Amino acid sequence: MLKNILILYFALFLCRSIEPYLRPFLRVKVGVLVADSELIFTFISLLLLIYFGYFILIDVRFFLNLASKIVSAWLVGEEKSRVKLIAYDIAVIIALILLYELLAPLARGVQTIGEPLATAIQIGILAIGLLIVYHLAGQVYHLTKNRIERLTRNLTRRFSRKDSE
Amino acid sequence: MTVTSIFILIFALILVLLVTERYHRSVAALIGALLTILFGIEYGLFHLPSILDEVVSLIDVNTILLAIGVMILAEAVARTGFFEFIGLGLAKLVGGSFRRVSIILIILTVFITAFVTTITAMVIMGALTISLARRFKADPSRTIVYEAIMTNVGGLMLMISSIPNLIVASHLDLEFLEFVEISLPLALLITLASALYIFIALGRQPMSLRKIEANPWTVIEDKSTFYRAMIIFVSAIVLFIFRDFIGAPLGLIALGCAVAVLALGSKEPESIFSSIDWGTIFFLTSFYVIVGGLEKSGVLELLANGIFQISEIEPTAFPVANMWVCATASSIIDNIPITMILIPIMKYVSRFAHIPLRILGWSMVFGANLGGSLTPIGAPSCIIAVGILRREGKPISWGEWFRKCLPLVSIQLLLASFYILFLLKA
Repeated sequence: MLKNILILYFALFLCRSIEPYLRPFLRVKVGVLVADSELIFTFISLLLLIYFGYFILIDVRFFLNLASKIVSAWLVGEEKSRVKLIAYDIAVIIALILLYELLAPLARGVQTIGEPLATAIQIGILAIGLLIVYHLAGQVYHLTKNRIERLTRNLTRRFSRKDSE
Repeated sequence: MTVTSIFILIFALILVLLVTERYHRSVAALIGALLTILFGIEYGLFHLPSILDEVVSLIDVNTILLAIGVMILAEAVARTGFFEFIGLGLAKLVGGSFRRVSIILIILTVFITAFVTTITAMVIMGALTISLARRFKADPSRTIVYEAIMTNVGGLMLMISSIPNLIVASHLDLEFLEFVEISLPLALLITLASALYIFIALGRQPMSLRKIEANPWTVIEDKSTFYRAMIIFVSAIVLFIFRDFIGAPLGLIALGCAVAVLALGSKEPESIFSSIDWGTIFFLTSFYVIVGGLEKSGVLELLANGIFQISEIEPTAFPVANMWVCATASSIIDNIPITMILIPIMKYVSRFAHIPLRILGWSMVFGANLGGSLTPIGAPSCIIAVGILRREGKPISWGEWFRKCLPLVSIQLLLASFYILFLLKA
């Protein structure tokens, strides 16, 4: 992921740096449409962003999955039932909101470092909360997907049986 | 965030913890009570110098003492072997096929649950049923499942038969005799209808014994303790009936009789103390704090307003709808929190919709007791029945439970619905 981010950063930096030097030479005219160097480099940057962005997203998803699984296992514990996992995730999200509501005023009351401390708590809880929300969304997706797949399989089997009869 | 939203979140958290059974229900309620106190202080619902007095004032001490007293009393009587004695005696008297014995055992379950907790009743009846089924070489699984259902019917019989009854009685100031007058006839009617259904559902039993060779007196270990415990138990019932003349609170009567039975009618008070369901007591106490917090923060008023608008659609049908909602909720969550949450809400609804509060109270009693049978996790007795069957090598699935129980419980709830309509007309 780091390699892809660096390549993307370097490529975009390169595009932005060489574009002013190539401005006098680059000017494409197709019929009535005129594309100057700025437009061409913006298009190239966009292509680079899509290409490398895709790989970065895949890596981010991998890390998000891993992190959310670790956080969920840490807060919720081992659980096989998806429905129960969803319920536990909801409980953890509620507990995090309550924890923030309880801790933030206490932290703000601390002299000198009160405000930064409250912000740090907010960021920490928000980060854990986001990971749990991601985990919850994943569980809901898999649960729905499994159910829909089972339903489709049953319907297809039923229809194919009817056809063969 | 507003105080109402915070307390709605606390309530939602407790509900999720209770439904998923991630923690023991008493632990879940203790978490809720602690959050209620902490946020109560933060939002100015409680004040630090007088916090203990304010929290204790939310707890209904009378109900807690009544529950402890009745539990000790019932446990002491159960330990004398009285219920096994009755069961074995009746089975010996009836004899014949296992179907006939099953019906007797099922009816006996209802009467035992009227006096002891559903857990104690199920443990006693489960053991008795299995031992009799072995003599008959019959399958006890259906009988045990039906016994679990009937423990919840037994919970309707008297004021002391179940915790929801105690809570409703304490909050709505219902008398012991009112239960005998209103709840007992319904319990008997449901028992009769259920016995008929079960008799048909059990079908023909292949094996039959002409006579059961057993002496019921062998289950009584110490006759003098047995007689003393029985005298105290009967005195407690009499005192409950004549509470109005005595003028003492029910909790005090129950606790007094519990002390008497511990001193005179029991040889092992230590063991009785350890078998009391302290989890329920902690749960009850903590939930009073949670309900108090919900009331002070305005959540209950909010819920009541919503329910009041529903009640306006058809005020006559509302108590029946309330019973079904209570029953459905009781099949998933423990019936104690449902009763405790609904009581203050029903007080609001009754005031504004002009529906008699007592009728709403009865609908809660019926729904909270009967609804527990809808699922294998709805009531403690159902969980114990499932455990007994698993130990006997006859595990029962959710699907099987529904197939066996849903028609019977539906009949029971329908009878209760008609009974509520009859009470409204009377």
